[in-house]
Amino acid sequence: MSWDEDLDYISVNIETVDIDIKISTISQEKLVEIANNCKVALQEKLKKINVIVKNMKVYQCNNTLLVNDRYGICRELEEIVQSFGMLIKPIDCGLKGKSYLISDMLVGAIQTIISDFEMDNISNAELTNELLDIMKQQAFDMKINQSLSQKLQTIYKVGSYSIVGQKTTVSTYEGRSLISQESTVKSAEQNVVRELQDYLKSTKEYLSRTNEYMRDGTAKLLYTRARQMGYAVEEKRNGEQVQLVLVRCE
Amino acid sequence: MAEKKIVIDINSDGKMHAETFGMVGTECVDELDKLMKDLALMTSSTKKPEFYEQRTQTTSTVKNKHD
Repeated sequence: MSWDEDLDYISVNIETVDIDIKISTISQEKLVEIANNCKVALQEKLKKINVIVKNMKVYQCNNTLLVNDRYGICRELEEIVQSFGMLIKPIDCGLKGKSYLISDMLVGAIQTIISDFEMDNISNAELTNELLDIMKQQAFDMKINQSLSQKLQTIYKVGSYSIVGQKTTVSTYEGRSLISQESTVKSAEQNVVRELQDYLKSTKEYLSRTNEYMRDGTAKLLYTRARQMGYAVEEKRNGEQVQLVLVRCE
Repeated sequence: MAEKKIVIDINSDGKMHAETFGMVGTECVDELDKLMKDLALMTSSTKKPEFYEQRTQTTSTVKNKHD
């Protein structure tokens, strides 16, 4: 075969290489801001809840409170805590009176970013091994998505997150001349971007509801306190506002 | 029978507004203090004319008709 004849041949060269794809859906600054907003919201809720539970026995472990209302100080505790958008469930832990486990989904949102997060400590009683076991067994499921968490924690700590994709380049030669070259990239980029966008959306929605939870929880607290002070209470809702009308005849 | 009334507006931005009716002197402040304890910090207050009214005590004497 002569060299001139060689020139007429069409050859195709396929090359696949690994490439890094930087995901820029969420910046480190944005993630720090989300984590801080969640922390502040949780702190505010805890402060308000502490107004009622400080007169009860409060144990704390793994971002969960075990509240023991031995003397029936607040029969409306479940309603009030739920009004603040927090999680509460009655438990049987062998203590006299009523006992509840309390936490908040915000804990899960924060732990997705910061795995070793610990909320403010408002406990006033020392936890026994027995109670600790019960708290562990009956703990709330924070539904932390480990795959998402790993990505967010990397962005939070390192500042960016990258995935590995495969770039395939198909080069077509006519003889020794390159006549076309096409590259395609195969990666999970779209899935990762969607996962991060969904997280951003749900966290934003939850945080925006926090103001409403604070308003409703405060209204419920005032409602309960006013009833204890002998007032008849009527609750009215007017758009973003809640109005309480307290009346007492003497 | 005297009617004591408190109207509280709670906004989602965390602000609260409370107004009392049928209370005289410092009674309104005392009552709001009890109600809002640990829940809210008073940032501003406007005293209504009733605040400056003195609480008067009246003693009624009933006399027997046949005396």
